[in-house]
Amino acid sequence: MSYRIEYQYAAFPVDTTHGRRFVIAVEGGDNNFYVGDRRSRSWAVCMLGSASQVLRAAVYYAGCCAGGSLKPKGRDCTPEAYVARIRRLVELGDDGLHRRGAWSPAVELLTDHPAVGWLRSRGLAGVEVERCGLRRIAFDVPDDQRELVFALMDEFPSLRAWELARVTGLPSS
Amino acid sequence: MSLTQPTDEVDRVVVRLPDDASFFGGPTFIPIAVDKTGASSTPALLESDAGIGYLAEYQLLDRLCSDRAQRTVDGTLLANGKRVTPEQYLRLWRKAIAAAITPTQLHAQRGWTLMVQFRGPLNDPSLDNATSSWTLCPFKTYGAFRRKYTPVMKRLSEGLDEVTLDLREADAARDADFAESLLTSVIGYRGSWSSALLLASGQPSVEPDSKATPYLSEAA
Repeated sequence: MSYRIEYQYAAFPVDTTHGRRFVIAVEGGDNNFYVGDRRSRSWAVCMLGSASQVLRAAVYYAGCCAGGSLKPKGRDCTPEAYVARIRRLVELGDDGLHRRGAWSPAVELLTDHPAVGWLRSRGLAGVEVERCGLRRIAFDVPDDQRELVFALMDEFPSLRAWELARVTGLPSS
Repeated sequence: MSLTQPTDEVDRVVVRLPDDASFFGGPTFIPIAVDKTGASSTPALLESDAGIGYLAEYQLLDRLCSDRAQRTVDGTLLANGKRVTPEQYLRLWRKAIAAAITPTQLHAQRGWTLMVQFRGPLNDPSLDNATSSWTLCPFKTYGAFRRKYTPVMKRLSEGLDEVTLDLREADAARDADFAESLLTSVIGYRGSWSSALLLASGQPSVEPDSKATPYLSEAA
């Protein structure tokens, strides 16, 4: 059976005008996809928002641990243990690892998503791109407006974190 | 802060079905959450994606993680009147799984009856020769299922029949699961037929509609 392995976690605490928010990045990859003799892996933003929003997302993904389709460090894990792992990241607030990388807004939304109009109404222009056969609108969010990604998550909770932000510079395991 | 009243889950019951109830084999479960609403407590089947949906343990936990366990994070779902973490909440359900009871015990202890109800052109002899794609299917053809349940089949209108299987009956859980699979291969996915898991109060009967009151969730 194919499953996702998560190798490393990094939490970026972000103090905003609406309180502390988090960008949780995870280095992960499929168990049966190799580049050479090494399993492929990459960093992606998997959870984003307030502590509650991050934990809700963690619980959602934790469900995959129950059936073995998500394995932190390649090992079986209960949903409870997965949630506790993400909770520690949020409560610790500074895992050290995030200092070696950076996060930035990278908003790409399906063309018919209501958040597209929401962003345009705030003066942001988007360009159409295609990802995995799906047409999306990519928005260039200026750095001084990076809090917009948290506002987006508040307004549209069904958005996925990787639709809103990216990380760079984090070390590979 | 949430503006809606939190749901207070005051109890949880897990029903374990016989190991042969699903063509996947192994133990399967039906979870029931008891929510307090005002002065009364109301049991409800956890929502199912479609059909009767018996759940393996991992599916049950996944189902909780996709909804109720998330709601404990911001306190929109309480357990016995108290805020709990998702981890604590999942442990409560693990205890309920460990103490799972049979459909017969559910009725004896709580007075609740679990039933599976089918509706559609169930009594149509032209479907009789259709076979199941599952080698474990106890019915060689759809006709075998139809003949077994004809005595309790109810005609609702021309071409629309209803049959209700009380899961306390021997082989009822198994028959229902395979019947759903048979109907899928005979008629196709949904549309002209439906299956639903029902939790009902009242006395069991060969004609549950006439005596039992399906008052709760329907996982259809």
